[in-house]
Amino acid sequence: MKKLFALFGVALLASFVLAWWMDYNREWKKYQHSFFQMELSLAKTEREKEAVREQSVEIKGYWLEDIDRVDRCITCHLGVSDPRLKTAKQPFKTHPAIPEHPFDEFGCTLCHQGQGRATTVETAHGYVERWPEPMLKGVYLQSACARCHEPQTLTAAPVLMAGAKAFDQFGCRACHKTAGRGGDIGPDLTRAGRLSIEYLQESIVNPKANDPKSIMPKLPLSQEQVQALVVYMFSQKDEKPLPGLMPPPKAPAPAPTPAPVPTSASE
Amino acid sequence: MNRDVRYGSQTLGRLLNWVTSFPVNIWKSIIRHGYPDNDRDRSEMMFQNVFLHIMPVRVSLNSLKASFTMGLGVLAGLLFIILTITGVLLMFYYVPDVRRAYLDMKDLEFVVSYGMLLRNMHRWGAHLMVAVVFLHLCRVFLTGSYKPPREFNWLIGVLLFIVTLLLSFTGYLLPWDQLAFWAITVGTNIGRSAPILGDMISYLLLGGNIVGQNSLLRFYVLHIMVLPLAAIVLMAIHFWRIRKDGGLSRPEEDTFPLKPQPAQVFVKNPHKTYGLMMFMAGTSPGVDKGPDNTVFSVPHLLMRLLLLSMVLTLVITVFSLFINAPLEELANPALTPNPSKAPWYFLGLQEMVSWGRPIWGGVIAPGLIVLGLLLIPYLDRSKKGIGVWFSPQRKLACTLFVIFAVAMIVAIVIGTFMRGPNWGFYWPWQPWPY
Amino acid sequence: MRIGRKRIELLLEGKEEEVTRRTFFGTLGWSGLLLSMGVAGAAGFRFMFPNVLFEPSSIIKLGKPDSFPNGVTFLSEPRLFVFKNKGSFHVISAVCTHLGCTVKKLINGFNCPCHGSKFDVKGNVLSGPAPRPLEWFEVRLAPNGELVVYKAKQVEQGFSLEA
Repeated sequence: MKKLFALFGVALLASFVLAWWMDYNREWKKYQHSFFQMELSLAKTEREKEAVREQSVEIKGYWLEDIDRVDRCITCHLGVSDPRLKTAKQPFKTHPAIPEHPFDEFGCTLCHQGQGRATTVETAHGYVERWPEPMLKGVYLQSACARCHEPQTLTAAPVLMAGAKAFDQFGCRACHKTAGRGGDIGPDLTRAGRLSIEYLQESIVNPKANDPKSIMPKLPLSQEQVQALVVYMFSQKDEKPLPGLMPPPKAPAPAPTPAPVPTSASE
Repeated sequence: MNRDVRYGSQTLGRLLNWVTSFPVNIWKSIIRHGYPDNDRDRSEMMFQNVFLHIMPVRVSLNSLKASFTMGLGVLAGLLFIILTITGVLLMFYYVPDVRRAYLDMKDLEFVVSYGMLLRNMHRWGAHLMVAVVFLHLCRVFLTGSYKPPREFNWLIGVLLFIVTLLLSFTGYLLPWDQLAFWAITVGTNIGRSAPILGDMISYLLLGGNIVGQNSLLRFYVLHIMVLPLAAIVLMAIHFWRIRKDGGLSRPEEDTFPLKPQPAQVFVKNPHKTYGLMMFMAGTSPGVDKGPDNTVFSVPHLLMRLLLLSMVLTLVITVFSLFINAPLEELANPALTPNPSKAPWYFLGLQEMVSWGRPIWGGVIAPGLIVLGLLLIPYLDRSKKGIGVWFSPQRKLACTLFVIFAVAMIVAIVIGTFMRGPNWGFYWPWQPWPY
Repeated sequence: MRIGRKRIELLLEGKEEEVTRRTFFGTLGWSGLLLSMGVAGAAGFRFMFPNVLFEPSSIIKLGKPDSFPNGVTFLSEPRLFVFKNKGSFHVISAVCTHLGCTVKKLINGFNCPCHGSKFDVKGNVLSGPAPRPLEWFEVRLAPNGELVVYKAKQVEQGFSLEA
């Protein structure tokens, strides 16, 4: 009995110390430490060095109060607004400045997707189960612009625009609906963005791949056009509009806005 | 001058005495007994302490036998304490608001120190508690411990089992994820299928017609206040009745042969009275009964309790450090996951519900099961086979109960591992169609 | 460790080794248990300190200087009085330096409803329990032409911004 008591007393202590150690060694801390090291080596004057030393190791983030979003990406991506780090390696590289979308007003995940509240590499980039919005890579990033902008005229996102134009040009709406507009022969594509990129690509290149009964013809598409269409399809998410971020519309209302559902801000 | 010096030193001595006895005085005002290395202090330690006095001063060797109780009742109580502590802490970072609840779960995981650990401990502890309470119920049946005079305590125990299930169920809604949302939707729709009162029950539980803000708040209040209070009151009665019914059940002829130990025989001292004990009935601590099979609770019972609580805390902590509690996508009323499953301990119920109209599987069958459980000690009035596992005198009862328990477990296993999309049947190794 | 009866018996029987062994394991067990309770308590204490806060920023954007009328404007959320005297601005805190109630503007100063402190128009204490004058905050003109108040930066009385 005494021996068991001693054994479990020590084991309990060990498990609690392990819990403390696991909580203390959070993944993001090592990125902050190495970032401060790098900044210290970049600092020229003593005053700059002092400023680096004064920074505290803490979880940082953009809080978009109006739409209840928090993006903690800058907990590790600490150099996004530091112009000296244009050639630095990720996660510290400078983010190209976008004057129309200041980071502290728009955050990160509105465009990049991923899981803004997360603070580990895997979960934050969203490549985990149970997170429906993994981070967008390469040209697919452009699909996020359609969240607020009308893709047809968005020259800043050429691939998305090409996709939207191709969708019209090849007469896709004859059979497919998006946002309530179009034919009924093929599946409704209003929420096509909730499918995976691979699935969309396969369905466009070879319609019978995912549905053997499909009567959709194989279209004479170039590789670029396929990609553009995938980007456009991937942008079709049937999302709620985001209040407070859009500038007042100049021309007729830009984005189709389905009725707001008062549940939660992030979906 | 001499007198003054002496007077001075006397004052100093008194002051010194006062200072040194200060902590002792405080200690003695709280703890009135001495170090428990003799029988008197061992007894006083048990009955002078408000927390310990719920346990007896001396305890039967049979009750200490791990193979008899398996410590299940104690484990259930300890789990309740662990769940209370972790639950109270979690409440500091949780707001029962449909827009915030899920985000609070994410923040607990990603930014609150020890947040995920506590949530894991709470969730896994709750799962374990359901299992432990059910096993405790099985133990009590199979050892015939519900028999007279313990019928009423069995009744309280069944109620505690139901409260445990409800606590777990109400806790499920709080993260406001898909699992939560659809478990509650299905659960309250089962309630709706009840005759006559069905619509009212569901309307009351949800605080409306849909699973929304009102439902979340209702389940929250039930989970953190109403049901825990009910559990505490029932537990108090349960523990009290154990003592009033003469301690844990044990076989009539004690399985431990009596060893003549003259030193431990309690012989009545003719110059003393024994207070209330003189008036108590047969099941109260016996005076003048000669050598018995009891030992002092200090240290035999207390050290076992301490050890059990340490092992339990250790197991839950280590498990929670490495395995995260599930959290699905944000609740989405437009998208029912397929398959949509209730928590595992309700999958037996869901299995039954899937066979036909919900009123049969969801109301009548569980109602009959609960009613049957409650009535057991009043139907079975024989006093045979008390305190013995699978007593040969209770072959029929034990067989029937084992069949019932195994059926419940089989239904749960089928529901957990063999039900796929659209509640279709799939072997665990069979792939689902998508 | 107190010496219990069992130990005395063992000692009398000359089994000193047994006694040391029992004492050793007992001490180990108790220290493990007490230390882990300490660690758990410390962890619980740490848990109570939030690592992220959802609090309003200490930098407050007031908008264009023209949008303010001459005289005093009270901003309820950041608890500030913005004073405009033709083109010059200064900002005084509405938080009483005594115990943090929001002071009320009178014609010729401020008074605090909680414990009766009175301040003059510059925030100096006239009477009452307030220990210090009301705080003055730095106000600047941002590059986009908007007024910005820095609540973290206190300034001397008499500070003003020409805009």
